[in-house]
Amino acid sequence: MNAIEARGLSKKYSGFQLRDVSFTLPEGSIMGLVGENGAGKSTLIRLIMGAAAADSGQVTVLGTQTVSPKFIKAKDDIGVVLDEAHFPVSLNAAQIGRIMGDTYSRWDQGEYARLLQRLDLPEKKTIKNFSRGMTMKLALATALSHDARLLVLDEPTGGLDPMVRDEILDILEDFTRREDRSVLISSHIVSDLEKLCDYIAFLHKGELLLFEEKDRLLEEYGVVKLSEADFEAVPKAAVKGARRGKYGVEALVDKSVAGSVRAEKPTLEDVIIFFARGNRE
Amino acid sequence: MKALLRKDIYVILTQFKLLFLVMIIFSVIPGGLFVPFTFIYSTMLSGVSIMSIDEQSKWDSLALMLPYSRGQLVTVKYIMGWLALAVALVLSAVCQCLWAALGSVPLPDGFAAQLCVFSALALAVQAVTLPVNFCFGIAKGRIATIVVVAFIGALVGATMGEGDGFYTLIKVTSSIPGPVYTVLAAALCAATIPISVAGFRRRAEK
Repeated sequence: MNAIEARGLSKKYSGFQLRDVSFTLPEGSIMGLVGENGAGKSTLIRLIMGAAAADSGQVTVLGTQTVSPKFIKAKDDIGVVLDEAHFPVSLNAAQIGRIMGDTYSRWDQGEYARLLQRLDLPEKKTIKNFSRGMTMKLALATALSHDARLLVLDEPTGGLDPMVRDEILDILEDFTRREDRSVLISSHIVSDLEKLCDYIAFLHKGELLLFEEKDRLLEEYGVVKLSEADFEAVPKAAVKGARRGKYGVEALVDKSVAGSVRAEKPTLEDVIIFFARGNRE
Repeated sequence: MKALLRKDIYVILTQFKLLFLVMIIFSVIPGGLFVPFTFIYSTMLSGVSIMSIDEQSKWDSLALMLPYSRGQLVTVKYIMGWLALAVALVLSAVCQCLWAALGSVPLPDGFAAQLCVFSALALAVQAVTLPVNFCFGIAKGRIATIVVVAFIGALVGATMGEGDGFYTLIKVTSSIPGPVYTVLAAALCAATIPISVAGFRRRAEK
């Protein structure tokens, strides 16, 4: 079974449009969703979670179409972390635990208590007295305490210090040790995704420019640094994006069509930035 | 639904202690003059106040991704209003009966019927304010709420200003059994739930 199947998803808002997004995330995989602010990451996540209705296209999550009434029950298998806790700030972690206990059929209070302890979160302190890092850790603890098969995270590490980010990434790695568990995570911090993900999706101005296995992506593409003259000899079809400077051209190329030009292994950030640049040009 | 009720009760208990205080003070005042206000205030504010807290914390964005239906997310606000009304009703009835038993202020004629009519009034206000808040959001909904409350206040004030107008009104309305009003208002409230769900859905799509 696939964790997520999106086919031709489109959604129009005033001033923004998500256009014809299709991808398949196999069960047991981790997908990183990258894109600048306003690229449509949160809109896509809302469509995937059935929080908004697509204008066209369809999404199936864990075998259930999001437009089906059965999808509400299917959400029992999904853990969600948004960019903030989104819990009323007058509540505390113990109260949130009891609310979630009534929400999810497989809620494990013992696991929740263990996670709170691991993440050093006080049970009785109200959320309004939490730091941003603590708030995000609380959101993660609630998403991980009901034996979810799919975790959907929208910018969970944004605005966090490196230590907290690392702690969160560790927990996500633990979560994916079981083979039937999948993750969809959106983030601006490409280095986090590079560590964690099997698949990378790149949204740019509402269009899915890229959906590829991460290892294949880093294998298929390379970064070349050439003089203007040498760069002109590179087949145009190979160039995915280029940056011109005083001393020549730096470009991302598809190695299978670039010919004999010597290319260095790119980072995920190189790939994303050059793809965005190529699309702009 | 149990989870949503639990969440809203926690919010009320942690953020709206003043609501209870006002409810108790107005219920205790002898003579029952403040009973209609207590009923309307409790019913209306419990739902709308929680909605404003939800909006501040962006709870709805998360809730729409959890295993709750839109119908449940809306209905729970109605139920919170009904629970608050039930508490205010019991509190007012007990307090006014206690005053009467102590011999300080006698119970007005048709007190039980009055409680039913006031409950109906509170439910009718809820039937107007909740759909407005769900359809247009808390900011615009608040204005509508103020307008409705001001209108009712003016109506009550005008009838009370006409000699025994208020009690005449009560007498007239008492010719129909009180519970009939309550049942009709409850039915009106229930009928507005689909409107609120549609408004909530439309706003969530924005």
